[in-house]
Amino acid sequence: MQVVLLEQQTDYILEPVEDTFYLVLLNKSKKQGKIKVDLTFKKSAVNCQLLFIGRLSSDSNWQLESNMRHLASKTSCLTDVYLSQTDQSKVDYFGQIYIGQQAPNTKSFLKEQSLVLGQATYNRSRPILEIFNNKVKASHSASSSRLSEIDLFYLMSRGFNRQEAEKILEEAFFNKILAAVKLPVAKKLIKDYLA
Amino acid sequence: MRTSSIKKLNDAYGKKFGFAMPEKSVLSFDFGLSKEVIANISESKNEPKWMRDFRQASLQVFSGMKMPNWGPSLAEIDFASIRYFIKDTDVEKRTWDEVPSEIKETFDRLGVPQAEREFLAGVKAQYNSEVAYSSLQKELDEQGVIFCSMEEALQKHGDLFKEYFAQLVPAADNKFAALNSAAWSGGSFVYIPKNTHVKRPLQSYFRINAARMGQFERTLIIADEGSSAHYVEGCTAPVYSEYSLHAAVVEVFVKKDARFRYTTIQNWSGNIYNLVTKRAKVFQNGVMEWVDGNLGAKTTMKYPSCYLVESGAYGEMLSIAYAKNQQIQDTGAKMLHLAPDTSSKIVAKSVSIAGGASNYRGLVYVSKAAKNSKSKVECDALILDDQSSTSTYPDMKIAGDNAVVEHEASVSEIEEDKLFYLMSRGLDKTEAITLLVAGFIEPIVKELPLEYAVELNRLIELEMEGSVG
Amino acid sequence: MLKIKNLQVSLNKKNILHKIDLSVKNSQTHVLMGQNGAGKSTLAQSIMGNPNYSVKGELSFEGQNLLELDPQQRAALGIFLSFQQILEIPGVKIYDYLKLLYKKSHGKRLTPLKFKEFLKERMMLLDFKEEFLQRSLNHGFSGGEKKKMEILQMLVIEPKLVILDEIDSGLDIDAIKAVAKAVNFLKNEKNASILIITHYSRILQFLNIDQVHLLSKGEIVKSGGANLVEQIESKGFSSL
Repeated sequence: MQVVLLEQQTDYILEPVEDTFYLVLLNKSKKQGKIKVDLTFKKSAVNCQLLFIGRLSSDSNWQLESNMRHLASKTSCLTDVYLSQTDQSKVDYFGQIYIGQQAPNTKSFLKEQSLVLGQATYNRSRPILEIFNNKVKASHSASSSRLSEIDLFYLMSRGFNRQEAEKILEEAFFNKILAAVKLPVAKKLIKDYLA
Repeated sequence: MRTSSIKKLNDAYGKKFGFAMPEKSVLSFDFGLSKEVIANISESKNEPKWMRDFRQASLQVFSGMKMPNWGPSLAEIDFASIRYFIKDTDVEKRTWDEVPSEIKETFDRLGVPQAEREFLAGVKAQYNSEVAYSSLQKELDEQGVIFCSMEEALQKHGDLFKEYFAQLVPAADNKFAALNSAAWSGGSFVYIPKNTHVKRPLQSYFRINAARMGQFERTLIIADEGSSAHYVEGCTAPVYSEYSLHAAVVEVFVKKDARFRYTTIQNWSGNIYNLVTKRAKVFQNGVMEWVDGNLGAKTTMKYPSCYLVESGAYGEMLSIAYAKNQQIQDTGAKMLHLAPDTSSKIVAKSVSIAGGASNYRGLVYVSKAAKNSKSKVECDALILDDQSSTSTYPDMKIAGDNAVVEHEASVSEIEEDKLFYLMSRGLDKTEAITLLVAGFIEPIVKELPLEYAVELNRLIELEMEGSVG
Repeated sequence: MLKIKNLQVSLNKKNILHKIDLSVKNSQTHVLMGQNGAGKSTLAQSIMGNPNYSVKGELSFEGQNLLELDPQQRAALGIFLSFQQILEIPGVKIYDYLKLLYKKSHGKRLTPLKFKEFLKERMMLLDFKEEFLQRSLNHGFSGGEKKKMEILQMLVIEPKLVILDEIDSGLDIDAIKAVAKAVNFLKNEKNASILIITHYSRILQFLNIDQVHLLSKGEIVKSGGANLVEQIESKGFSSL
């Protein structure tokens, strides 16, 4: 599987013909950003992954969009969006999975997780499924959550201050996705980004 | 043009149950909406001036509003071909012999009593349920519960009625709410006094009347502080209606510490557009539960909502959609968190079969004021063949501090290994699939009153026999 | 009764069973032993007609060619397979399910009262409590409960040929005894034939065994009487 880093443009319209891992690392220094990734599967038996990773700083405002269109059989796609957000950051995410009648035996999954670290943030999330075939496996999930107070308390009872404890738990959040990424190239890119 | 479109609407139903609308038009007057038609409705109900004015104002609103520009197509609805007011005496007399054997068989399989059958098949205009009704009514009277038709409530409990009516769903809410506001007729009014607990479900004893309530019924429910009750409407047996549009409005007020459950089972005939606005306002620590099953109609658009306006309020939606034969079930829920510590849960299950389309459309909104709020949404879709489809359109807007919002949706087919397992025990394919479909929706079905649950399972069995190849 | 000749089975184009010959006569009990991966479950699934396996050769039951029949038709002939991997089917109420099984396999219904009695007798054999009837099929069951639920289904259907695929693994000794009691009940009352797949001898001491077969790498390498079990027990699979 090849690894492709999507970093320059804001709009990607792609038609994968071989197994590909697409990686989007949201620019940490940007206050505002917009990225849209369209993957259209026209070739059968192509498997892809799309991963957005972002540590969003205060007052940043992001619009993210992913569109997976499965138009050929036996294609699969795994879309993951992992974001941590500090004070006043905003994210509007639109993620669509479309599986056409001509695309049996397709698998497509989408997972969006945002971890809210600060106080007030504004998030909007619209994960959409449109399925026109019964030979499919498809799901999406979206969750927006905060650090658990119990975990924070546990770490603080071991002598960490609140910020340190938050940092440890933020790392743990990203470690979950890092563990799932098997490709060494992608793993390194993500590690460098998080460091 | 008009007749051909009406005929087309009826085809699906004719195919399924062998009914067809009579070619001769029995509805020879009062087509279309006008100030006069609305005034006639008011006149026949002897309404006070404020209601007459409300209807006329709503008619203005309706004329000025556009059709929704999202969701299923409503282009076939021809407002000019609808008759907006029909008295019982106008209901066409059909004889039982004219009812096709297919639909009689459906009633047999469902075990519908003869008196109810005649009513459902449009042979009888009224279903006599006075015996059961009066025993429940006596109980309710003793508790101070008001449970009557909207018309009666407007006459007898005018002040209470006026205080709440259209406060939650204003005429301008959407085009169909405006239409309902102008032309409403029938529906129930319920008032549960403070700290009063109604044990028996309201309506289940004369559910048939509810099934026939009409095209623009209006329901208004007030559960006062600390009270609890369960309201049930609709029925699982196929309900034949000659109206092509059903646009109801339901408003429920759940006061502090009150608990209210509203259960609907809808199995309209396949010519109907079922476009319903249902909304509940939930006050401090109140609990509102919608349980909604949609089986029939040509197109259903229904998104019951809970406005959680005070702290600790809870809203829940459990729904089943069953879409077959080009039906569109476009259903969902809206949970608006407008106060701290509010929570909500949505569980939506759908089955698409033989060209049916089921869509989930939902909103979870957590306002800035709604600190520490929680919401959980689960959508599971079962899709049985490649002619059918399923879509999920959730929207989550989260501004409140410390909000936890989760959404999960999955689409699956009947699993081959489960099918093999059941068939290896001697079940044929249809039986095995029926069992798996029944198992899939069981978590919602078990929330229904027993007689509804039993009927629903029988109905699914019946549907599957014709649809699974 | 069951006749298997020159049977070859593959899964996803990979050959698993090469050349199997096996016949089970009326009211006999056969044991099929072998290491993990030898192809024991493949054989069981093929007899039952799992569509994932492609099967060549001869497979017949009471003179009927099974290869032409789907799983339901095979079940209708009186074949029952207790699965090794037992699926959970949430939402399907056990009582309703068993009632349906009874109707399908016996071609008639019992009155609710009689059916409850019928079930009660069988549930007692397995030490099942009546509350189980209100639960969902295998949903949230422990490994042992799932196995016993398979056996209960067997007792409701009353098949002519019973194939038990590792029914004994994960069961404690009391449960094994209960299962053996149920199998013997069916054998004595209904003259059923039994094919037991296992790699332990524990359950075998409670049953009367006619023949033992040893399966290795997709072939039956040895067949014999009950004493073959002892040989396998003492020397291990690999030495034979």
